[in-house]
Amino acid sequence: MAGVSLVRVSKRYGSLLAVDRVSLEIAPAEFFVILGPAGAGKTSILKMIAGIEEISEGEIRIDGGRVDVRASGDIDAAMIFENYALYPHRTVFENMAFPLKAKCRRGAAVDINNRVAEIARRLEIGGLLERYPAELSGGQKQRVALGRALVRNPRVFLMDEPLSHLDAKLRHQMRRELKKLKESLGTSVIFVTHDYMEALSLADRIAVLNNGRIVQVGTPEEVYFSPENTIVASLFGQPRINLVEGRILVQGERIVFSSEDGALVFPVPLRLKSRLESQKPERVAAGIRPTSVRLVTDPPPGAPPVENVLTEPSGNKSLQHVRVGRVSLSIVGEPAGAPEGRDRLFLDVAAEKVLYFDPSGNRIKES
Amino acid sequence: MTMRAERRDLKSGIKKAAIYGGIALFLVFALFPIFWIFLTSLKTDKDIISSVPKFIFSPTLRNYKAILFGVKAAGTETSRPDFILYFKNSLMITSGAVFVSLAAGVPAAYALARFKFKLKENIAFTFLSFRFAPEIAVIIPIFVIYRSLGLYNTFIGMILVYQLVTLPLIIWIMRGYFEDIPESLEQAAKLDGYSRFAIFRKIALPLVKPGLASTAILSFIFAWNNFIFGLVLGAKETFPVTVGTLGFISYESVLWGQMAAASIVTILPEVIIAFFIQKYLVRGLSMGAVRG
Repeated sequence: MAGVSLVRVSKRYGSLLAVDRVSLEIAPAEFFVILGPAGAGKTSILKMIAGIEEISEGEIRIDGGRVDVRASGDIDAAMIFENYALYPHRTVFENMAFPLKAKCRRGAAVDINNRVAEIARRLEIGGLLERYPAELSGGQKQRVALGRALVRNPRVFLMDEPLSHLDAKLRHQMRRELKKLKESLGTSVIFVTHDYMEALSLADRIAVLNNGRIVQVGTPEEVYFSPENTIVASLFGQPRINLVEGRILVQGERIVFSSEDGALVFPVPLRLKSRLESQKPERVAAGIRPTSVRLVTDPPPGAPPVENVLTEPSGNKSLQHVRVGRVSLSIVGEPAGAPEGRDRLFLDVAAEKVLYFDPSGNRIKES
Repeated sequence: MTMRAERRDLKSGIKKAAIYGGIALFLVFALFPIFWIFLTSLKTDKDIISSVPKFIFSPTLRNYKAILFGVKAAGTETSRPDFILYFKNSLMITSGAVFVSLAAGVPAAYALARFKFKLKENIAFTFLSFRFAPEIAVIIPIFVIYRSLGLYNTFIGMILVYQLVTLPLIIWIMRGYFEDIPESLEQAAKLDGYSRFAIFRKIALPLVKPGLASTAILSFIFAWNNFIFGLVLGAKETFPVTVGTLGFISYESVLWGQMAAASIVTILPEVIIAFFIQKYLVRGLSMGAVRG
């Protein structure tokens, strides 16, 4: 059991700062996902932990011991590469046995044949041991790469977008299997992805990375329901969260959100009242998830009808794009699309679920 | 079939015919001299100097007998049994040069492909620049140096100077092959606990094997064809075949028939080797195709 910690780790490529003072604490046996858009520095972090790339600043510890000063082989981390990195001139068996045959592990009395056979059985690739990587499908290569990592009981697993090259069906299947594996593993896993669904379904905790910086670290529930800022809010959810610019108006006892042109107005939960009164932001952005707004036929008082209803059916639900005033919104609705009477439809926002962000993009939290 | 499709077929048919016609023309252009030399090597001196080129004649092996076994025959004035010696010289110099170039050039190519170090591109360019200057431009200084170092007319000296031909070729081609190996493969091996040298030996080298074979063969051919180094820096004991073949031209006469026979024997190793290079080239290409 080993935990991994990064202390103010930076990575520079020339003048480019790829990773900017990242600090993370990963608990033993934790499944930790680093999520971020392309170029955020996710893979650089993994490679620094693995010792493949040198760190420019900071330190990395595994189990309390510094590893950033050691050679990769001694770090005892196993990495699964995005392109699997199977040795094309070696059979599946030889690929999986390769880490066990390294000089530094020669002392350990492991029966290589048994160990490989055991892992192969567990991953259901026992029948492929004599094949070469070129003769395997994408999913099989993925399993072999996983097997090569598993054979040697590393202190930490590093996975670099391992599922991104699989087709959708296989990706779901491998996701389930990784989840199963995670229960039986008892080893820390650091998993890098740009797919928020992967992150939400696999992670114990998620770190959101943007432009080399950690934006938020939290459980899947925390990052989804309580994002720190608009970056995190936009990363999770498909279609993306609707961000509507507007202002907060006080109407006697209650406060309401009003879009710039006043076309979209809904009440703000009272728990945010004191915070909004003390902070008094000039303008705010309301974050409305496409699932927390719907189209209705009976008008809330004073609300104008929506225009431009465009429906994209997608099986058990449909995606609707609407305009009200100058505000555009995406809505996840009923499979049949918009309800009857298309020209007299109104928006019904689940006001309790709306998130509010200040002008710099940070979420306004209840005090 | 519609009219349109028929016309398209006709068009592509014409295109194909034009391409094959072009190839055939080029083949005649490239192969006819070799074919003519081959015919000459089977002719008697009388047939060779006949004022009307002879395509039909009664072939004889006496030219081959003369150069290979030193057998004199009627109609042949002298024989050059030295040819065997020159052939051996060529084999020794060329394979020695390729071997040394591989031993020095393959690790150098790997370093240029994978390591970061100061003046890397300058060093790589320096190797390439060996091939810029025509050999004739540097041969006189090399001759002087060789005389004073005692390398003149030695196999070691010949193998060393042939590095100018083979080493840049091997370094530059092999560098490309090494760069084509995905870096993640070597990173994976590093994480699996292997040293840099072990990675080179167990991952990089086996993966470039097809490239290595074709590069070695290519540099063998280049070295085999070299003429000027042997001419200036060698003497009878170290002359390669290219220079040796010139010996059939002497004061009194030119032994065309034996010279042709010698030429045919000289290109034999290259022809045999070319068959190998074909097989490896195809393999090298298809290996790239299945990756990923």
